[in-house]
Amino acid sequence: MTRKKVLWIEDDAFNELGMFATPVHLTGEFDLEYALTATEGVQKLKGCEYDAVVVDVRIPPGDDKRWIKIYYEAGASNKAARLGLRLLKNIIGGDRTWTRDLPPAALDSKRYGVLSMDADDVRPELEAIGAECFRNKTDGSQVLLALIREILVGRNLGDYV
Amino acid sequence: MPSDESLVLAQILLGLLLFTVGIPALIVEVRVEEPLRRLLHKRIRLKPIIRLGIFTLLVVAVLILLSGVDLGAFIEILLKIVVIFVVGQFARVWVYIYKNVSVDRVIDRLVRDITAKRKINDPELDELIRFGEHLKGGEKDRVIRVIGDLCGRVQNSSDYNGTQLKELLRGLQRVVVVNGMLAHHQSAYVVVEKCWQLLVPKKLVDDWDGRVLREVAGVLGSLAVSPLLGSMPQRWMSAIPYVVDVPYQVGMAAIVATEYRIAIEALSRISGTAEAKNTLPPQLIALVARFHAAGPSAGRTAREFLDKLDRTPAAIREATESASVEFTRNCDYATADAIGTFLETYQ
Repeated sequence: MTRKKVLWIEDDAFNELGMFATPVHLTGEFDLEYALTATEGVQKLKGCEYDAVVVDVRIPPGDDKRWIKIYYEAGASNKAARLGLRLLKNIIGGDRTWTRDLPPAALDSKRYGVLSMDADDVRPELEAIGAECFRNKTDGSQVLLALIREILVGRNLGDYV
Repeated sequence: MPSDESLVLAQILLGLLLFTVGIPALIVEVRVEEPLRRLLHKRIRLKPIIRLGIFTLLVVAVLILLSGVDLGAFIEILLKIVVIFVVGQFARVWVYIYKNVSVDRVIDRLVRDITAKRKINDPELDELIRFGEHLKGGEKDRVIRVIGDLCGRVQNSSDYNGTQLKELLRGLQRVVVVNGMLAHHQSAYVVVEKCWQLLVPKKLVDDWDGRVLREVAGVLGSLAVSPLLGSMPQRWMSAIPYVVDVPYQVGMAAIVATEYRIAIEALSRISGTAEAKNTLPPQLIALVARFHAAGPSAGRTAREFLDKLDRTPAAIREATESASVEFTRNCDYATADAIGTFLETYQ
């Protein structure tokens, strides 16, 4: 069985990366890559076609000056800047100001899911841009795995139900 | 020369001399810690400063001896010109010392020196790396980024053949190993990832630099297995995709530190590579055996990775036996013994 490629854009602010990623690795079904910032997330999306992309709402900007500008305009706070949401709006929400050179596969809204502390708060905004999969980090250690499977089922790439 | 005038000039020169000797020394003592201080002192060439000091003392002696002596207008003007010249030299010395005490300026100059000669294994690079080892915080981070820029310049030059980064990458490793914090690991990760990405399209991943990059990622990844460094071990494992040696090194360090979540990721990555390349690498067998040695539940979890590869028991046995031989040959007896024990129980 070919492993599915998954990108998780997550800043690991509370060291939750290991906790959520371990169940994913234990399945032996996924190649899980990480991006810690918005800049790194965009770079990885440019360089590789992922079957599923999981995005946290609160991510730091990274080196790209455009992301840094938004971050500082929002008071230099990951929580206020919500760069993960802005990234999604850029990629799949039609406002592709900063993500024009992404490959077509990266623009497919069905590939994206949100795993965040704020998933419930941003639900209307996510639904407005066509993102259908979102979960809260408080839903237990299996939540990342469940979200990835939900994305893949939505794309008819898995039969996990 | 009028007595009061010559004595004032002598006093000014003496004051400047004491200031030049004392103040920069004080600044260096206060601002810079010991190993770095030695490096900074080494960068300041003392001979010209000592010569200026001796010359100043001579001028002061002359001014004192000739105070009250009528020398005539021409000699007096000449003496004043000499005093002005000495003051000018002091100004030059201050600028020189300032340039060599500011770490940022030192880094800039070292980079200029390194790039001017278009030769990477220069003493200047060694000095830059030694600075990097002893610096902390943002200054250490600056050195890492500078090394990254230098790597980029080398890799983007037309004569790059996959073998010229060794010194820079080993330097990067040294800088992070000595007191590297999370931010330094993250910056070094960016450098390693970029270097690898530039090797891939040029099909140079199996050359020297590719090997050194894997070593650096392995060493820094193992070092990152620490509660203070969060997810850095996982990041290091992802810096170079589809290789087994980096996750193996990190996974082994994680098992020793009983950080099994990290070790599971290492196992997942190695088995993913084994699956993609249709091989049974000895590192996979070794890591499974180490899990097995850690206890029954760890052993069962690791065994599942092996089972998912859809290999016959005979093929796994054969790979396990040859892995045992290989680790014994490499004098990694603990791993060889773990593999032997695993083989005895393998069904």
